[in-house]
Amino acid sequence: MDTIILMMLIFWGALLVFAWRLRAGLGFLGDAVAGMTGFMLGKALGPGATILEGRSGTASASWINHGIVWLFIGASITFIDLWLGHSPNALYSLQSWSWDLTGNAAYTPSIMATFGGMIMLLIGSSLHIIPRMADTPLSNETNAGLMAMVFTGGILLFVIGSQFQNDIGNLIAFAGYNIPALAALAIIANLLLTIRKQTTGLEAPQWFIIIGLVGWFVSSITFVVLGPDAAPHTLWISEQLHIGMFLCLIFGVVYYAIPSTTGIPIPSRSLVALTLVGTIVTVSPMGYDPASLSFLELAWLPLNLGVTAGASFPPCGAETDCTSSLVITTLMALSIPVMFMFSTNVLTAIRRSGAIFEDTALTLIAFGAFMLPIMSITSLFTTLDAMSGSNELSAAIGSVRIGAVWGAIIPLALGGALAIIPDATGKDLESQSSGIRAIWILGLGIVGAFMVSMMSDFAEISFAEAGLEEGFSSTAAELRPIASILFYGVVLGVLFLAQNVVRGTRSVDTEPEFSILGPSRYVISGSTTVRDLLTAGVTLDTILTTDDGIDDSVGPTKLSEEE
Amino acid sequence: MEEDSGFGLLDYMRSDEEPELRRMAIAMGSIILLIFLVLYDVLYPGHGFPVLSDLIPLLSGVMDSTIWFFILGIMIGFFSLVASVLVGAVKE
Repeated sequence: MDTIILMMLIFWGALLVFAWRLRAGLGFLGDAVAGMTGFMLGKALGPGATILEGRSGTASASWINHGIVWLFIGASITFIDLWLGHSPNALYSLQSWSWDLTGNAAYTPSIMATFGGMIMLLIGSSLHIIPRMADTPLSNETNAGLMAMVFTGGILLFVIGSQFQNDIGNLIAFAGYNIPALAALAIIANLLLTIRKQTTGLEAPQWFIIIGLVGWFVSSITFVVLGPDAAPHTLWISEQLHIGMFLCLIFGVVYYAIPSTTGIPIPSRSLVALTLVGTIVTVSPMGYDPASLSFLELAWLPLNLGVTAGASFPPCGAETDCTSSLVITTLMALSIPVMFMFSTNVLTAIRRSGAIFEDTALTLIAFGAFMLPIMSITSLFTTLDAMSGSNELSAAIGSVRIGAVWGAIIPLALGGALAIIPDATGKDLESQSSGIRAIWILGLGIVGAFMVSMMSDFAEISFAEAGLEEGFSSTAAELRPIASILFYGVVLGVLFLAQNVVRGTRSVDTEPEFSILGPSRYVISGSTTVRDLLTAGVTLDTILTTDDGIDDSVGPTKLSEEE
Repeated sequence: MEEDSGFGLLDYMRSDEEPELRRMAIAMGSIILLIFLVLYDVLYPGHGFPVLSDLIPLLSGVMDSTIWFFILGIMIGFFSLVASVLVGAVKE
């Protein structure tokens, strides 16, 4: 059987078995496994288990705070990498301190810091959502808080290791890549133990989160199982499956964040279910960039550098079988409708809430949801072009990757986390208006940077098509610095949002007002119909109150009774 | 409030919106620095400023690209973020 098809079958099969066991349980093995896992997360850590206090909600807050700082660092390093793309000697003076920022020295840490920060935000949100929907405390709060530090330590180690272009540096980076994976494994165990105490069935956001986290590992395991010989073909599929599983996590967080913030349920449950199935079955074309090979070579160090070189689809021609190419192409194309389903559902819910441009988190989610289908379609063109070996759009692939990551994926993850922060930490954002301003800066920054860098890329492509291989398009060269400067807007936007979070004020009432199923309280003003109430998301369990006690009547002030 | 002598002057001279002492100190400091620089140039024309003139050549080889201005912004942002976290932790 073809390697790629075999890989996909193993991936789907493993997730299917997992989902089945998650519903049915492990039978008599369940108690033993749960007991052992609980011991490993708690007492097995020894003195480490007592480092943190373990108050409820602290783990979630810790992951989100770490994540947002790493996201800012990721944006900053990405900006530096973009700048070094057109001015390679801009930081040459650092060589006097033996710090050589040439080659991929800025590129590899930018990927680790960006995705590390994003995963931390998503795990932080998950640590709030899963226990909340299970109506039970997190299985081991102390361990989860401790793992945030371990995860951060891993990212830091990778960033440091990637700056030493030798074997020791590579080893440090490899360790830095794998330590966060171990921390994430502990988090998955923690969440599964929490779900075990849930008496009701799993809700949709819980499925998204658990499948996303487990699928992230399953895709890596599938890649390893198929061995180094198949690596040139399976590596990219594994990476694209990673992106798909991150999207699955993001969808889960967003599908929880909107109803919990607005009290308005997601309009279509069937679209939610289709999104879940679609995310698992299809392969995302977003985030693909052959340049990320330098990052993957550090991440998969034991593969003996070079095995991953030349990774592509198996050649497809008259004498060779094209089945795998056709399968992956179809799966990537099928992911587009899934993105549209998610986007439509989310944008409808936010529009109904009327919170766009009023609430920072929802505005950021709306921006990400709007950009998601656009960036997916753009990515589909460039990814398939590169994987098929045509390479006609290869000059634009880096710009599309940055546009997809910072224009769609990060805003959704960050927006979801921002929506959860007040409930998870009991702290509101410092200012909604400055948050909206930060989103404008971020949005204009990434859209501007994406468009200008695409203009630069296409100028270069036109130059190459004209057969002027010796020359270099002056238009492209002039546009690149502008794109870099515009991307600085992303750095500032993330910085202002991060400041908004860390300077947040403690809200007076931290009691949850809404659940995923609808608002727990609803205030009626004047006469209304049951239809209107249902449209507003009220459920059978919602407590209805009238606003009789609130005197909000407006009009001229009466100066005296005689008037 | 003290008794006004009948001219209403105190109302004009005492504002309720006094500027913050911190801002006043920064503004006064900037003005004094500017005056000092102008005076120094008048009194010792052609002479380099003490200490500053020795430091600037050290930086000329390092900050020779526009990216450094952006990096400076990033560093200020990062340290303000760290400061906010620390202040928040101490306050609580």
